[in-house]
Amino acid sequence: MRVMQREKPRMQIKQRIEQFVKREGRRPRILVSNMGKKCHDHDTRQLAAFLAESGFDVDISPLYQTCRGTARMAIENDVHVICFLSAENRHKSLITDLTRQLQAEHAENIRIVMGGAIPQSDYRFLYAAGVDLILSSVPADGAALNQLFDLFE
Amino acid sequence: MKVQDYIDGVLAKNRRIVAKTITLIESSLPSHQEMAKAIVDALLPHAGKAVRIGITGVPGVGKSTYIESFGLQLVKQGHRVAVLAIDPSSSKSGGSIMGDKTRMEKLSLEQQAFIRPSPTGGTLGGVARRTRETIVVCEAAGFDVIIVETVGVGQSETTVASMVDFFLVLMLAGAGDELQGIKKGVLELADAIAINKADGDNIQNAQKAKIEYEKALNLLTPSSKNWSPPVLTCSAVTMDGIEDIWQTILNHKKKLEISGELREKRRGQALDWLWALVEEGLKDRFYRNPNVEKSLPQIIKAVEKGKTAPTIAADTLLNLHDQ
Repeated sequence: MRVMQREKPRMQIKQRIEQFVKREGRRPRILVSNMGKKCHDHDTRQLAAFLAESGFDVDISPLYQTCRGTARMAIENDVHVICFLSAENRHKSLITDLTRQLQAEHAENIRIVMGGAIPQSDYRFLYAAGVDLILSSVPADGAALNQLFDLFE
Repeated sequence: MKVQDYIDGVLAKNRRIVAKTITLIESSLPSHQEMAKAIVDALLPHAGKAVRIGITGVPGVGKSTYIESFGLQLVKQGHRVAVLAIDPSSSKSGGSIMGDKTRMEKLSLEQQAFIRPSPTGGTLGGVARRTRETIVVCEAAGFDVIIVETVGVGQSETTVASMVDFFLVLMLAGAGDELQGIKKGVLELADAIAINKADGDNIQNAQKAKIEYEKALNLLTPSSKNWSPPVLTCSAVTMDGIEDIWQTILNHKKKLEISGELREKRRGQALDWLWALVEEGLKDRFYRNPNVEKSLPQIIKAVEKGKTAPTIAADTLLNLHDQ
């Protein structure tokens, strides 16, 4: 019984993705970006694998990507959402820069998800700066996955 | 956005709109496909001037790294390069991971380059139509070298070879049996073979492999009267041989242009395109047919249980479609 409870959100996400494909004509596409000088390469790969396994199309950026590079890759690959993990204490400036780059390219409709080591006290700043969702743990659990998927709809 | 907005955006070389147009082409929605058709039709007169190159090789041969070096070299010479990567790494769920760009760090930031990985998950055979149309869009957006990258394990090679001018097969040296892991059919498609990673201790092995492949190619009948596929060596790390491959491609283009074979080839490819569309359309119509849709589960079950013979079931289904 307990197992079923835990499996439920993941089943749900599969159904939601199937509906999304029927409506939009393609899978939800997400860019997992490695930004900054220190990168969570292992974590991003794990997150990417988890998302692909859940039914997303996942792009992975090169390491040490700049904000400009991330914005460009998101636009070129036409993703719905950018996700990046904070590995150092620069996430505030990175977000400000990233949203500016997206705006400059008329791509502000691309949503932003963050994860990694982010102190609660920064949440308000980040949400105000244009982050749509902050994941408290990575890889996310089924409930967080559903929250993340809300951004696509 | 309307059809005309897409057309104008592509012709104005707007990166975002080129990307959106490709999304439209790849979409499985009939309404998107209608729009894509109209857009591609309008862009067709602006296309056809690029050098179209297909690149294949087994996983681990260094395709992405090769394309990074090759692409940067071309950009340096003033070309505008579009890379279309067909990614078959889809999981059971239908999702896929597209990590080509992790090995195209510099090229992916070049102003004169455009790299688009495409997932194949869930669509059958659709890659052919989509990639052909995407080539048209990229050419209309002013890219003069189009590279189509595919993994050398599936059937996509034949399809890709039927939409490019030059088909390059990358190989590795020193893997024991030199012809291992690659089908003879793929060699038959090659306009050139390049032994990659010919650097450091591997140079001698690469030379040996080169001779092996030359022998193997000698046994095949070349598909062109004007071209016999050479075997080259290269290194994406030291850049050795990268320029030679480009010169080989240009040489091939010149020879085929003079002899009129290039025009002939592209005409043939237009027919390939036509038949691919017809076949895909037929399949699509079959599955969308309400009669078929209604009876299909029942008929499948009957065949599974051995109650109906597959031959009779197939007849029944086709008749339902024709009704």
